Amino acid sequence: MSKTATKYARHILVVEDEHLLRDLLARTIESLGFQVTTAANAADAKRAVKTADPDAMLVDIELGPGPTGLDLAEVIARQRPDIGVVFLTNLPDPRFTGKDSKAVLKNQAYIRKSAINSGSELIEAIEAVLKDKVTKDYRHDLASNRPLAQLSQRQLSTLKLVAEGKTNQQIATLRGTSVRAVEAMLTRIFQALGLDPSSSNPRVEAVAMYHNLRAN
Amino acid sequence: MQIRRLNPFNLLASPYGLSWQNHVVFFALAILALGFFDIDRLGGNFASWFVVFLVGYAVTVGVIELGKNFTKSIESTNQRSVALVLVLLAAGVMRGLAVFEVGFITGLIPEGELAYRLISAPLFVVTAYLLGNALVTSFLSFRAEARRLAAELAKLSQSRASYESDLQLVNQQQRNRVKDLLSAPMWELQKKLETADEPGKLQDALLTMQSINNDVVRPLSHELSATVSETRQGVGLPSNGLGKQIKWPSRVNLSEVQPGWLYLGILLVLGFNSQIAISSLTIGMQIVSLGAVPVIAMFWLEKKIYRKQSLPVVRALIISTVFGLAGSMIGSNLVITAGLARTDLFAFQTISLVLVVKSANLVYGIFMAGWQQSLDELVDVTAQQKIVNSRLRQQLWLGQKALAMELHGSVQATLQALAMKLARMQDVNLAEISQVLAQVRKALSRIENQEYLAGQEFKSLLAELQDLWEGTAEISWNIFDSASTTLENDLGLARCVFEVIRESVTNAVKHGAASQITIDIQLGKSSLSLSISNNGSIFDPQQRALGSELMDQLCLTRELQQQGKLVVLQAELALSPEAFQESLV
Repeated sequence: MSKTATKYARHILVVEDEHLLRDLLARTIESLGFQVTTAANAADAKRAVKTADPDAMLVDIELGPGPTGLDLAEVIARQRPDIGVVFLTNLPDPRFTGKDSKAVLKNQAYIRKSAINSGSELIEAIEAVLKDKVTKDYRHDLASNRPLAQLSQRQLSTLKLVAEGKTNQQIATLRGTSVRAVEAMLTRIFQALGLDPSSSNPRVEAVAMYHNLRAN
Repeated sequence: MQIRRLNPFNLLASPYGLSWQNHVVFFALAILALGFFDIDRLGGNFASWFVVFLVGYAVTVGVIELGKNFTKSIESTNQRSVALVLVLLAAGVMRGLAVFEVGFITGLIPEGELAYRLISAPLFVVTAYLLGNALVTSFLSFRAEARRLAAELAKLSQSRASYESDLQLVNQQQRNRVKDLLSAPMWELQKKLETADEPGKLQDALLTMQSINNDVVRPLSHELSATVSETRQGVGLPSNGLGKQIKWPSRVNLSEVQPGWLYLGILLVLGFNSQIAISSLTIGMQIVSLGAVPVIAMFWLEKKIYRKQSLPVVRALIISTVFGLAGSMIGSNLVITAGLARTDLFAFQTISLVLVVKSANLVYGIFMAGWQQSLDELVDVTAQQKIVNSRLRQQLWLGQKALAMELHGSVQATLQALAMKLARMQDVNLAEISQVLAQVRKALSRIENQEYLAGQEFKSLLAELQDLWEGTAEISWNIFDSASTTLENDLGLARCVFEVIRESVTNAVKHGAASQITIDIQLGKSSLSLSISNNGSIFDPQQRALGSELMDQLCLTRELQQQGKLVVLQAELALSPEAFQESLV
């Protein structure tokens, strides 16, 4: 945990396990007039909340082998709801970490790293959270053009099972439904993804789409 | 071994019930009855009787096949069995009528036999089909189970054989390929950075770095994730042409495999049926009662003597035949001595009937023993298969997670950060460029990284979780020594265990409002047992969320239940291949 002080500035906690990116983010935010504290994992961030009393936190979702950024946000929402939370991540939305879309609360921002071109964009997101005016511009997880946005949570989790190599029978067993119901859902998924269900192998194409997005 | 038999009555309604093989068995039994009973009793030549027999057989089979179709829509096993018995009775009545009509026309059967035919034929059809169906169905069930067992064994052996190579593919070959593909552009980047003595060249190096991130690292991570999926698809598929061989039980216990009620029931029904026809009700009952005593006594003696012995199958068959032979010989001699026998062939008929029914009864018992043995082995093999697959799922998840963290986590994040750093550089600063180069090399070296806990100890991860939730939920844990050693030695397993705990704690607090959570971890025979109890309220364990899928992926078994005032999650996680193979020896 490290701290850089700027007098009377608002205080931002940056939680990122990659030290290079963490330092870069800290310097960028600091250069725009904020006071910054950094933490490499969720437990350090929790301690920093006690000692530094930040106004908002910028949190990566994947924080190494320990608790995740979503876990941290859950705790903060319960214990310090006054602290704003901005997720900064590579993931299109929380469903890719095995959480449902409700894991990100209404007053939290969700920004994809690849969509950020300058420090000021980050600051705008932080300001929106601090003013409790989070609009769709700061919720990349809800953007209609986000990858696989057209799929429901249940459809996405079914696609995930397909991508894991499970057969329709296995998916039906896991879901407690029939193979026919799984086949019907897959047909709807293929249609939603713009794939022709009667083409040679829409299953492979859908899985490839899923993996491409998962890796982005 | 206590043999769990399928009830012959319910077997009628089983998927194999009253199949075509039953008609073959009935053909054999009916022709025996004709040869041993009708010809001797009523006279006539065999060819004429054979015509009568064929008509009777065709009518019986026809009525049964027709009747079966009417029972197909009945879902309850008991109700369908009752309906099929009624079909058999109807087939018997029709058989009796047909045999009488043709026999009367050809002069083989006297007019006064109609009543007897209408009573004895249904009895004969029901008992013969019950016995035949028990034999055929137990054999087919045994064969199906034995084939399934063989297929599962082959699958298990294939899973074990491919286990290491699958993991090798995920953990090493792909990493090597990543390194190979990255080395050329990285060499180019290094050269450009080393010679970046003016802003234009620095800009060129920056573009190269961004291009490596966008054009090499990301596509590679896509491809790697897809390969993980394909690898998993190839695991555990059964090969073709399995299960052609049936492994018979090598030894049987005569006392356990011979159901007395089936043997004696059929024997007495057929005995009464034939003897009453030959003589009268009173004499028929006297004959059967007197003749049955030694048969029952010998059967009881046989079971008593061999109660504790497990015999080779052939020896068991011989012994059973000897006891049946002795009982039926003594019984028939008693009847003959008492002057009750109405035919010269009485001894031969009695001995034949006893031996046919006794052998069928024993073979039925052996099939049931084989079926039971296959079922028991199948349970064991399936359990082992689950362990192998569960461990493989864990390992593939770890591999995928590790690749994801290293490639689109560490490597991408580092290259992204360095690119931003270069972009902000006002002047060419050789010291800073050297530093950038060192960091690039360091990031790439992490592709080799297989530290699932990133250098941390399992207990320190638990401590992080404890610290994180402090103020909302109090978390405590108890790790038994043997489990602690296992977790220290197997970091992959430790990572999986932590993920399960992390997910469970979040669920307990978020959905169950828990404030006290206790974690117990101990080592089982072939798995690690995890018990997570909390004082919250239980949420519907059937409700499947995305977290459930992660748990399914990592756990061998898991169950959430209310125990008193506590909500307890019991989960088993498969051990490493070495550990569980040792446990199987």
